[in-house]
Amino acid sequence: MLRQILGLLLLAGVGIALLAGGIAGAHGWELLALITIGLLFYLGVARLFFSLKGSAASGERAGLLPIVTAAIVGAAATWGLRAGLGINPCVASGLVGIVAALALSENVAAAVYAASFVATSSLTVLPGLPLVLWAGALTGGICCLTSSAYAGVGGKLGTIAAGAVLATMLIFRALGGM
Amino acid sequence: MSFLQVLITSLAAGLLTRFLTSRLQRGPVLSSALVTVAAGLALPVLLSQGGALVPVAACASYVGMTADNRLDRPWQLAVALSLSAVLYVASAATFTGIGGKGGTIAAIAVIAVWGCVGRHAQDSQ
Repeated sequence: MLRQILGLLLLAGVGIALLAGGIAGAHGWELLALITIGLLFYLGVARLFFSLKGSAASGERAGLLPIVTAAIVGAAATWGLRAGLGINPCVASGLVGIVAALALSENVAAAVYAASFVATSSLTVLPGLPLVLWAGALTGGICCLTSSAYAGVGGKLGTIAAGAVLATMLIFRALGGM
Repeated sequence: MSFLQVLITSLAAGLLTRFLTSRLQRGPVLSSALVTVAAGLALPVLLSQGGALVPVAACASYVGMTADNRLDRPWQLAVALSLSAVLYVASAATFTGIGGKGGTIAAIAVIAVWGCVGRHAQDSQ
């Protein structure tokens, strides 16, 4: 239960960060739209929180190590397609997602697809393969932590990826590496 | 890139993803990835500013990954896709260059709609 709550708070925090950043810089109809959507989002998160009670992780889950390994490979492959072959980041992510969905189990493919989003970050955000690999590994770890949070919600994988990228930026900036 | 283009792209990509996932049973990851790749290849050829609409289509495909037991009616998905289009435009200056931004937008839109009108996930089980 604690893991479910932590997972929900983590994913909701990423959404709140995006909304707060948007509201801080918005004017006119954009500000009104962001505030309205934000209020509806808070309502939905509260409903998700109360629906956690009695829910349990469903399906067979792969272990932490296979998921983290697959996520690192997914991030590296997307980075290679994008930086090496010059493919559009979204297309590169999609190609990795297609291969993962055809070759891997559902949970592992989802982690690979999530990690592929990490590698679509701009070079100013993640300036180099080592940071992409780190963020990919973090994505795999967060996938395991949040296995039952946001269940069935479209965009969960991207939220995980954004959380991993933000955490990577914070960690490496704190260490003076970015 | 007008808001109308963003909205139409969002609705088309999201509903196509839901069709592939629910009707053709292709799974959410494969469906979303197929729609994203198709959009990435087709939109820049079809439209002069099509390249800028590819992330919009990708974002909408993430909304379309939503399970039937969250948003079970097409109009609910259409509302979520419309909200994601609004959010995409309104939050253009936030999370710039951060991978996963489209997914975050998608999740916010889906949860906002589900919080108001969606079914409880356990109702359908």
